[in-house]
Amino acid sequence: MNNPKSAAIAAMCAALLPCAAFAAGSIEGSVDFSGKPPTAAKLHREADPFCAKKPMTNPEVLVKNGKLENVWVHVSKGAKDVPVAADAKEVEMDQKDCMYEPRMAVAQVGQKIRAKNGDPVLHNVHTYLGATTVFNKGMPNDKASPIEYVAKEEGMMKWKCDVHPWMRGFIGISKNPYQAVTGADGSFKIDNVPPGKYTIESWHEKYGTKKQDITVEDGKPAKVDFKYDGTEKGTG
Amino acid sequence: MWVRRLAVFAALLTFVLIVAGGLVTNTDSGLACPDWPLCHGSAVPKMVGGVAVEHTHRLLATAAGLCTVGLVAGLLPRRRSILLCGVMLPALLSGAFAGAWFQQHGGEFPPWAIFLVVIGFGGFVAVISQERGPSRLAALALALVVAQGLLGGLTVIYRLPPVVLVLHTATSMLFLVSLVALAWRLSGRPAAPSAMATPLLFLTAAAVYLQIVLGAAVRHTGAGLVCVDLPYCRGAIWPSGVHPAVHLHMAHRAFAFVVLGLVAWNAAAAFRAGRVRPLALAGPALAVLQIVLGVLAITTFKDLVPLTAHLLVAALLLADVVSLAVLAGPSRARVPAEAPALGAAT
Repeated sequence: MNNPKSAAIAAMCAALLPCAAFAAGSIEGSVDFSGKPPTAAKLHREADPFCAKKPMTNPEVLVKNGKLENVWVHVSKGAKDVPVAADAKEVEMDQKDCMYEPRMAVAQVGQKIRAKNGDPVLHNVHTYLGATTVFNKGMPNDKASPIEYVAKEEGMMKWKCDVHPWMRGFIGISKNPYQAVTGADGSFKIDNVPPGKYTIESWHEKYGTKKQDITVEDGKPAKVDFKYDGTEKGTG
Repeated sequence: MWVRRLAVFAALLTFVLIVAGGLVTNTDSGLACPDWPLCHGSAVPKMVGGVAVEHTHRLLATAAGLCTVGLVAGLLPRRRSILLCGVMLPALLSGAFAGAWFQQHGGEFPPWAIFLVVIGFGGFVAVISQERGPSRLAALALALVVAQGLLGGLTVIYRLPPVVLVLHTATSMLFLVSLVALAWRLSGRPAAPSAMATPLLFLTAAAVYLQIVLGAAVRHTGAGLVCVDLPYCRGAIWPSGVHPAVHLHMAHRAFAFVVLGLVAWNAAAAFRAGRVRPLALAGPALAVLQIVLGVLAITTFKDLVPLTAHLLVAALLLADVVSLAVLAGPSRARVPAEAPALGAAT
């Protein structure tokens, strides 16, 4: 940096940085489902008297107007690793009415994840990354202290309660913040994506992964839609 | 000689296979390969995470199957082994693989595929009924390992239905029993003295097997932690007005003590008879260890190590009791008469 030319270039870059951030693009789209969605089966929650009070159906596949909910959409290639923002909120996974709430969430490597028990009964939080147990801890009731964990590796973190085997939750963990979960209308939007070429991936617990290559340009939204027809096989 | 060694190797490999199967369930890797018989459309998928666990299980199962084909080739008369391994087995597997392909590509199992599977198993039944002694055990083992493979395929295709998972475990133990019995029958060891109570040994083996099937039902219906207090369940030995899953869990706990009693009784009889003392002593030790592991499986919320060890020790206990039964059984006397045929095979 002793070179005056280098210093001038650095100063110019610093001055342009806010503009570059402002010019970042976005990725938006939706996840379509063209097949016949499976009928949501009744969950057999009768073994626990508390859970049995509230009959529920399996929320694994949620389709409305041909759009698929709870799909993790994330940039899987092309993006640089981004450290988690200092003011990033904790990702909270609650156990409410013997279900995980939300069923699907996203977190960034380095971000804090907090598990809560909102039920007056025992849940054990058994999480996996691939085939490896991340942690497996019991939470006796709603007075139990939350479990806190800082995400260390990217991938799909699966949540299970062995006491209530129908309980399933998912947190997609990525090394960058360019990720989202589809809402009830099947749409997603990922903001502040730097211009560039990326591979974007969708993941659904029952129907698995799909990939597409996209180009994000300065200040423009890049459109990408994923399509499932119900014949795909997932690993959730 | 090589047939004997192959039988011992196949039996030992089956223990590894059973542990690998337990790891598939206990690491939640059952659907890491969402297709069957390939994994993500490949015979050599990228071995990471759950794929490594599930695909290793499949490769070990294939190795166990090939060992069993070798046993059939070595023990059955040439014409029958060719009929079984060269005609029936390929027909059966072709039907199963073709059926799986159609089912996984939006279709149904075609009737001709089901026909091939039925014909294949029919051939196995015909051969098993005609054979005697070790060759019958070898043919039975091959039928069981093939059935086991198909059940494994169904668990994937239908996304882990509990009934199929329980059958998968139950068949794996029958396959182990057939190989352990075969290995002992080919070992040439002298029969244990008749002081051992053979009917009681067979009853004990049946009780251990039933307990394993009960355990599989507990595991695969999600009843493993319906009772988390010990030794009681929800404050009672046999709680009333509860879901059947709770009674299933408690039946598994209670029957463990019935098994322990039977195993200890047999061990005492076998110990008095001599010759098989290490096997006799191993039974009660394994049964006690198994109860401890069952308790640990609950208190650790189904931690990987105690839960997988619980399955391994169950298999070891069954193999131990079956070994005692084979060594004490009257059928041991037939082995010398079959020796020339074995010698010819080797």
